[in-house]
Amino acid sequence: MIRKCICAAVWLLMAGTLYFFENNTGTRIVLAAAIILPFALKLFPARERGVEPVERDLPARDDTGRSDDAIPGDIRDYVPGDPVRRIHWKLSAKMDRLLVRQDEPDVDAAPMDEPKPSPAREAGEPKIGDRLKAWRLFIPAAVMAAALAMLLLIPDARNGAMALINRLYDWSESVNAYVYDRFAVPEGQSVMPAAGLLLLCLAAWLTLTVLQKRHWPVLMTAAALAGFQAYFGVALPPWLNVMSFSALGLLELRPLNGKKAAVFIAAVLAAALLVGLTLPGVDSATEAASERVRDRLSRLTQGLSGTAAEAPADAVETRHVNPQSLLTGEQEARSGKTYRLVTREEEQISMPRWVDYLRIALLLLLSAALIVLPFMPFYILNARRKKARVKRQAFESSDAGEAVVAMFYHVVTWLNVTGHGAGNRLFAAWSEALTPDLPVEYAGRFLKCETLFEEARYSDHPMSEADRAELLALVDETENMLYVQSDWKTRFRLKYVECVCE
Amino acid sequence: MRDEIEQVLLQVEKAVSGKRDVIVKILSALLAKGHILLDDVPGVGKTTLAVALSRAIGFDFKRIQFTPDVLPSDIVGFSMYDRGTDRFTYRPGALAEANLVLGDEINRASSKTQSALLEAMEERQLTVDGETHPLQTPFAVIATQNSVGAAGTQLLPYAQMDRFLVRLSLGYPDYDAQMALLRDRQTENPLDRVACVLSRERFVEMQKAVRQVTVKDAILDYVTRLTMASRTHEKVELGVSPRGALFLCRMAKARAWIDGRDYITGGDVQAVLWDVCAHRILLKADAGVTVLTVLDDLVRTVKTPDHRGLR
Repeated sequence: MIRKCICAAVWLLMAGTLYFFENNTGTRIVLAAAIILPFALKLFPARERGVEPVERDLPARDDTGRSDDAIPGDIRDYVPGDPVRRIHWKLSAKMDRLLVRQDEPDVDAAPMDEPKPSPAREAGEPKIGDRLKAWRLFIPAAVMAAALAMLLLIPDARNGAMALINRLYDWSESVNAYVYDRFAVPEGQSVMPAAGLLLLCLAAWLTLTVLQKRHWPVLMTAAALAGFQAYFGVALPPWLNVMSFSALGLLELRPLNGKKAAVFIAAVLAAALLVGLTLPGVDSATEAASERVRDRLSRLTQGLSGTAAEAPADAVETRHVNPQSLLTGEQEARSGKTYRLVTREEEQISMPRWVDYLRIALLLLLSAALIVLPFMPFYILNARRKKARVKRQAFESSDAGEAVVAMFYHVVTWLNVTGHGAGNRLFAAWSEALTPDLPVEYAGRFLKCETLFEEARYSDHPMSEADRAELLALVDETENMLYVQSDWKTRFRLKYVECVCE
Repeated sequence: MRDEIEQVLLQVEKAVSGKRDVIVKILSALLAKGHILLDDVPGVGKTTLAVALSRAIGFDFKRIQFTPDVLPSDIVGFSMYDRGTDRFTYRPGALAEANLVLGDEINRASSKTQSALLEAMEERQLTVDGETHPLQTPFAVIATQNSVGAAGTQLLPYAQMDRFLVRLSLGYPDYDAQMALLRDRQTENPLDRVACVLSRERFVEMQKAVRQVTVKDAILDYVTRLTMASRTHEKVELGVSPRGALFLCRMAKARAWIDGRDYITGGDVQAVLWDVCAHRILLKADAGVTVLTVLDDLVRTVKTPDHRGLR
């Protein structure tokens, strides 16, 4: 449960970061959907199928005895001397005289062969070579390291990487109007070798992530991707963002089955399509398509309701101020449509009010956290000491039985924390495990108190004050003996983690 | 150990020496109103033990030797037509007048006979032609089967072994025990020296007392968790049934009572676990381990009732 809450917090944080740094409302929504969806699916996993009932052919027995209802082959009259067992009572009652069965069944008839139980299934597991298993994590890591090394050391690859980063800057500028310094790259530098090495690196990282059973590699990758974009203000193209976060989300859905993957992909595609086609300004490439769909929709609705159609030529659209849209605006202006470009400040004003309130609320939370944070350690320590005191109050409880049980558990916790515990065995069996490290008399007293504990816990006998005193003596002896011989780490654990020492 | 039980043990050990723990287990099973399955090689003294036990406690003893042609009516009884009174009268079978019945080689009997016996054990009454005849109180069956069976026989199927409270095994005596055995039986039969030290009514009272032993929720929780863990163990095809869980509680009660206590602890449950559950666990065909390993696993991994109260 706690793990789920932490996952939720991290995902929401990443979604929030992207929300505030990405300029485009539509992109924000799509990215948030792509980030939150896989987590939502993970929170409500499909029900596990119940265990199917085991059918097993238990060996059946064959009937070898003869029953009284068997139709006899031979009947004759009773003659004195015939065994009484041979008398056929039903026929005799009917015929009003004693009749006897003639046939003799085999006394030593061996039962027929029983059907054997179903033959054992070959429980075949695919045999992976043991050596390969050991190397299976090492190989992708090595591939990734080699790819990164080649990327940095080979001049051709290095230049290609810098050309790639230049391209990234171009894309980012088209989205958020920052201007970046370009790297100096020789003319006509092909990005292919660098792109190839980066892809190899990515593939190796993905293999590592898939092979690990844990979730942190995926979360780390997502956090790195989001953080990198948020911190530097660069943006990968939205389609790339959606694809990569969706892929990471799919990885998070392990174990993956076809149904889960299909639902997830359908949901992401639907969200992307919906946002991309109906909201303006998501991506210049989808602008045209979005416009056409909106035109059609409006014409349809007008056709249905019969209102006057607005001429598409007079349509007024809002656009963001960025170089690419400036170019497109010019083009559209040349083709005859009228457009008004919206500046960034106007767009900020047009943003919904609740975003500002959210920002203020977050700032207040942050300041509150900063004020409270230095006092947290003291608060926690005091709470722990109070818990220890409350636990000791149970020793003076009016019910001697409860006190005995509480005190014995107290002793057991001390033994467990100081490393003398014997694990999941019954406490009666602990006394032999205690003897090597602790004095023999202590083990004897422990055993005696253990009998009292069992009586207090498992029976309805009222316990006496003598029993309570006995347990109290054991508690004091245990605490004195073990406190002296434990180091500061154990003492810390005793005081603040297990809360059994004041 | 209670005094009365100690007395009974002393008497029985005159006839069968060196098997003290098995005799104690049989006594606890009898006190728990259960039936016993003795899985043994022939000739180790099963009949002698049963006779000695019934003599010491004052039981009426009957022995049935099962062969493939024993009819159910031999066990249950049958209605015979009496020409004199012109009616069907009930002729009792072997179970009718007995307190302790030794059923030898039950695996050689036919299915019908086996089920007749097991049904009588379960219900403690016989129904013949619509009339019910209750069995004696106390009533118990000690059934035996040879692990090295005669040709053509198989051991009892799982569903029927489940009806026995415990499965025990006498085994061969050790050197001293066998020497004592041979020495004692040269001139006289030691069975004649066994005296009756406990009455039947007292035994029924003891059974009632065993029933009243305190079982706290913590112990019931432990038994439930053990049996559920046995069903989901990876090497197990069929684990301990709810009937097995019930029998586990009963046997633990008897053991606690014999120990002199009137409450069950976790130690009692663990002590009787092997006897009660070993024959109820069916391993997978490709398991590769024994039932002992599985039970050890269970005892090791399932949290004991002592630990459940911790924290």
